[in-house]
Amino acid sequence: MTGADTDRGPLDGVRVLDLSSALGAYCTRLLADLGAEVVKVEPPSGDPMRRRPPLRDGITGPEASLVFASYHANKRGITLHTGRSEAMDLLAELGRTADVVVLAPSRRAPLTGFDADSGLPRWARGDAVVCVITPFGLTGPWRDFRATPLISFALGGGMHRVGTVEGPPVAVPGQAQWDEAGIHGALAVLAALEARPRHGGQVIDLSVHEVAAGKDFLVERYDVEAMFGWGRAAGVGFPPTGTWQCLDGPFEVASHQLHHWDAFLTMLDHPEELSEPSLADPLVRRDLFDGLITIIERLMATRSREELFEKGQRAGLPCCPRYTPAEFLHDAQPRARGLFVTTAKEGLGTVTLPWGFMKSTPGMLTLRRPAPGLGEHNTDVFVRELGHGAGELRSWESQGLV
Amino acid sequence: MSDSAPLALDGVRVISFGAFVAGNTVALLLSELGADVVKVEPRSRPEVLRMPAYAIGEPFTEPSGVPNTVMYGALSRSTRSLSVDLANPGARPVFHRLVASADVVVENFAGDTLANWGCSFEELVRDNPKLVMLAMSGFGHTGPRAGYRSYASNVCGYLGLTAGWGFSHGTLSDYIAGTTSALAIIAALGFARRTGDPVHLDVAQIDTMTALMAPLYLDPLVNGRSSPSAPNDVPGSWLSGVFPATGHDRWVAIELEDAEDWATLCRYLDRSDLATSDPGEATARRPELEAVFAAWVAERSPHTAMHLLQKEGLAVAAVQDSEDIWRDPQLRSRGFMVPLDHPEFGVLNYPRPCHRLSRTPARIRRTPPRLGQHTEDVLRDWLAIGDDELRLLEQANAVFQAPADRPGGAPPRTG
Repeated sequence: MTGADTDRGPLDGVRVLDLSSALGAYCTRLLADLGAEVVKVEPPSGDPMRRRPPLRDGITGPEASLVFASYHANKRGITLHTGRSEAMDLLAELGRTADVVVLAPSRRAPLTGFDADSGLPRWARGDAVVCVITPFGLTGPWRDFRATPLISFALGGGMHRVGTVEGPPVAVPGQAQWDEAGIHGALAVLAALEARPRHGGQVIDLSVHEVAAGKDFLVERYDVEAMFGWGRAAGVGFPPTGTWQCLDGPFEVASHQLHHWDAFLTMLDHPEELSEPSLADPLVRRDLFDGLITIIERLMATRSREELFEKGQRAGLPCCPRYTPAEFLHDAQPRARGLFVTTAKEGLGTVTLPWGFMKSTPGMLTLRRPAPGLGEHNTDVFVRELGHGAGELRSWESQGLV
Repeated sequence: MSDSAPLALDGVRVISFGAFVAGNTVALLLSELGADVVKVEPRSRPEVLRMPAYAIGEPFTEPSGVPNTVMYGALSRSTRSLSVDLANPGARPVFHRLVASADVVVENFAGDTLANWGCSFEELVRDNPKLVMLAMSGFGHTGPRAGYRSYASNVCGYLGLTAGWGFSHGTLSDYIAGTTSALAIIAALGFARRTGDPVHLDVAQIDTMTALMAPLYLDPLVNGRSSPSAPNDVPGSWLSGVFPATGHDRWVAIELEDAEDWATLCRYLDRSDLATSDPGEATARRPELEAVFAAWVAERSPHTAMHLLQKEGLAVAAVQDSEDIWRDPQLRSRGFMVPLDHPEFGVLNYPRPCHRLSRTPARIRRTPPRLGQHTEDVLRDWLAIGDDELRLLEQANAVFQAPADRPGGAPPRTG
């Protein structure tokens, strides 16, 4: 498999038991990419993410979801009905091997042996780092409220500010709000591992709601200004800041500093129509808003985006094409950065998926395997590592426990 | 919040040149997890977010004449401010000594600023052979678009997120890259310890966002087609959307993930005739159920709608605005609001760090510093510099210490 930076990442030798859901999937993916040995535990019926579209065209069944293939790459996978009390002994055995446990318990996916007040699973090791990611945290009046990424974005204050002025507010695509909490979860796990030689194991109570509400100056701004000036705005700045239609699609210019005006003129080869020196003053440009827009629209319409991208950037202007996701995939930069990797996965075939959330010298990321098939590593883990007989495994399977 | 609890990153020293939201977020996260983070700002070229254009409310001026804003305060809290001017060659020897005693250097300069000061990674590694150095950028430091400039909104546009979402975002990629960078730094510290080699991190907003927004690319990558979904439509869910509630600009978000949710809502709204366990049927009946739900929401406040339907076990939420966040009972019950008294800003609430580790919880360490407030402290703590040398550095304008007779630096009051 190509794309790996190293065989031994920073978390080499760290064992992570992933009992989380879609909430937590990105957290453990980051830990796996950094070299941890992650075992993803699914119910015998499969993680609900296995049914999440988009599916690969022409494929059905538990391996068809590209979302699952992406979020769970680099992990091993076993099945266990963790809500059943009979799972207790196996959880204890798994827990004994785990340095890190990542959980996302909910009313719909209860976890046996989990004490919601302490955040501790009874079966975890005393020196384990237990990261409990929940939509609202383990305490508080809303702790049992149900959420999805859309719900978390709505409650956390991010959604209200996105959308047209008249509404409705619009959710960010994918599960970005949950995955942002996943990055914080991984950060907290790494901090706890760093502290582990001095302080031993601990529980991390990570609330998605606090991640969302703790950014973008929501609290500080309300303290200062209350709700003054808080609508969904049409846009910020004045020409040439904005999005312009070029020969082959839309192109963005962000001219927020004084010297950006000069860079903008250089990008357009110093057009006669914009040669008036007073236009260097943003306040003058604000006053001439509508007239300038007409001129700039005409000038941009005859250029290609690539020409403007190169010339504008060379002149120091923050600018870029507004690509569709598919156009971005074909740009030279993500290809040169190696942001996608092709892997073959049984039941799914050969697919190309996003890879590599950061770069470094020396490289720290490890790519070991594609996402696991349903129960793919049951024998690996239950028989080879925990020492159970193949017959035992078969009997658990027939009971629906595994 | 206990000010005496140990901190996870106690003993880690970080020198940060990180500017704007992304760069300052790295410093903030590491310092609240326990690192001693020193933000470097020359008096003559203060952080850009101090400029009045970024003011929240009124802009402020510190006694030294340096401007400041609540926006910068919200990102610089918990760090210490060291004013060293590397454009002044007289400051460089002491800076190299600081690097020798530090673990991490953070920067997101555009262009060759550090190299021009003789402070490139290769040069700093000579001071500190196990250095972890973070270079943050929009497009990365390799590839044909290396060094390209961007604001977070450009990153959104370039990646296809703006096209896929229908809207742009001014800070999303800043926070994602900032948090990812903090994670990468802690990982690299252990890596450098194990290997004995320095680590140079190249964290690009486009890389971190491509990984985060993976669902956006799956259909084009694998199936060779684009699949833009309608606003607020969650692929795979039975019903999702945002509906107007009573009041001005008030909204309710709902997502029904499966047949069980669908049945619960039908029953609650007295429309069991719309119940079905077949996804195809549900798609056909969705406009009708949405219309019934919209009429129900239209007569209720967003929080009432949320409470009634959460009791039924449904994923329903008020679309909270910043006033709602400020009043939020869930956040308040967990001590989310932390008031800090600041000599210019007065008392303001700041959000408690989300990293609630049971033994080493992250916490707000100190009120936002004035520029140069900790210059002498840091030089003494890290280098044991004496009074004579300090005076010489100050006379050469290599370093600047904010006047000591001013208030500030009081420990945070806990709420």
